[in-house]
Amino acid sequence: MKRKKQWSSRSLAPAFFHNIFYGLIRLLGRPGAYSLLFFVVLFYTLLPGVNKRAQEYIRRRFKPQNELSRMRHTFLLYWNFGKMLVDRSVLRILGDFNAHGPDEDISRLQELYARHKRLILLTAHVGCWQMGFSYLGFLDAPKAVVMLMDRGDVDKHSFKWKMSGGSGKEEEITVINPAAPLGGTLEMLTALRENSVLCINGDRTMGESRHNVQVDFLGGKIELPITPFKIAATTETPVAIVFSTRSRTGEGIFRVAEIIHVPVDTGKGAVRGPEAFIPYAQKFSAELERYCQENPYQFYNFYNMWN
Amino acid sequence: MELIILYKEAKLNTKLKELLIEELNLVDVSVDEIEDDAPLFGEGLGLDSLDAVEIVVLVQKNFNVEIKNMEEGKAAFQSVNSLVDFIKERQA
Repeated sequence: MKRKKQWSSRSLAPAFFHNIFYGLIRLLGRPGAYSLLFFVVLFYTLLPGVNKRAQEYIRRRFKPQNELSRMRHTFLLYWNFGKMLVDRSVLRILGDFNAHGPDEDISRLQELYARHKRLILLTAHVGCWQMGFSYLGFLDAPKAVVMLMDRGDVDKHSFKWKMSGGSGKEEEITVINPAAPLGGTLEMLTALRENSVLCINGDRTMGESRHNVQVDFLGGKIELPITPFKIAATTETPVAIVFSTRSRTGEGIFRVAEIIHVPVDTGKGAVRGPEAFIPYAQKFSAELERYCQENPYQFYNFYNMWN
Repeated sequence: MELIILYKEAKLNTKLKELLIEELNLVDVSVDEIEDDAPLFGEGLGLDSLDAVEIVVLVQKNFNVEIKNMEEGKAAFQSVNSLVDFIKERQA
């Protein structure tokens, strides 16, 4: 049975408004776009249909005491999300974004990749997740990202970035569409066979519900997909849980939260089927919750995940 | 000669069905219940995208044949017969 999708990659605003932002960035740079963004965010914060999307997260994460504090949290959440989108466009248009991370995390990922010749980076819609990839230049490997591209997407994504973590050269990133036949799984396998670093978002479900498991998150149960863990097990690929944080204007920090090794026979022993992957999905959920505690306004799943 | 070829094909079909049952945890299905021409995905055996991952790996592990992308997968995943044909073609 197919689960009803509660979110969409489509932007709230039509292409015309995006183009206004792109024009402002070209003319006035980031400050010009931020100025307009303030009013746009204020409008969306006051728009009941839009601000409702974030309310379940806000209720669970902040436990707001009154309507005013609820509105304040909503504004700050959308404001941070908007700034991330502007920064993403600035990176595409002006090539300006600086991602960096601790040396020890660089070494961990380099050693992991050197040992296995493939790697899954499991991340979430938080921080500056797409721009975080521009930091992966220190990994001398082909890179692929699993990302839904809806027909109605007007927001421009760029996956040819100047890498900031190593060589500084421009690199093309392969995009794998999970809405493709068989969920893009064959393309994911191929990427790993070709010694790629495969980036997957682990915080949203797609396709058949029997690929999802329930885990604890912010005081309730949410569903997470087991696909990344299943592919990791099948191909004997290590999983690095990584998150990026937008630390300030035009700057992001990329960190490794945890490394997971999913045994190849997971799901074939005493615990069979998707339930066998619950410990790994729960580990990811716990790291995501920790991230939300540390960066409360950088969580970008605008729908009721607990529903 | 033709009889030998048919016998070999039947053995390969059976071997493949046994592997599918074992690797995909098809606990309520027997070899005899899997029809050679029935679709593997959707109607038919009802497999899905994660099962496809398992099939790709089991085909590579047991028959040393790679299914590289959806274009190849589309043809190979039609049925047990088409998967057997794909394996034989790549092994030839």
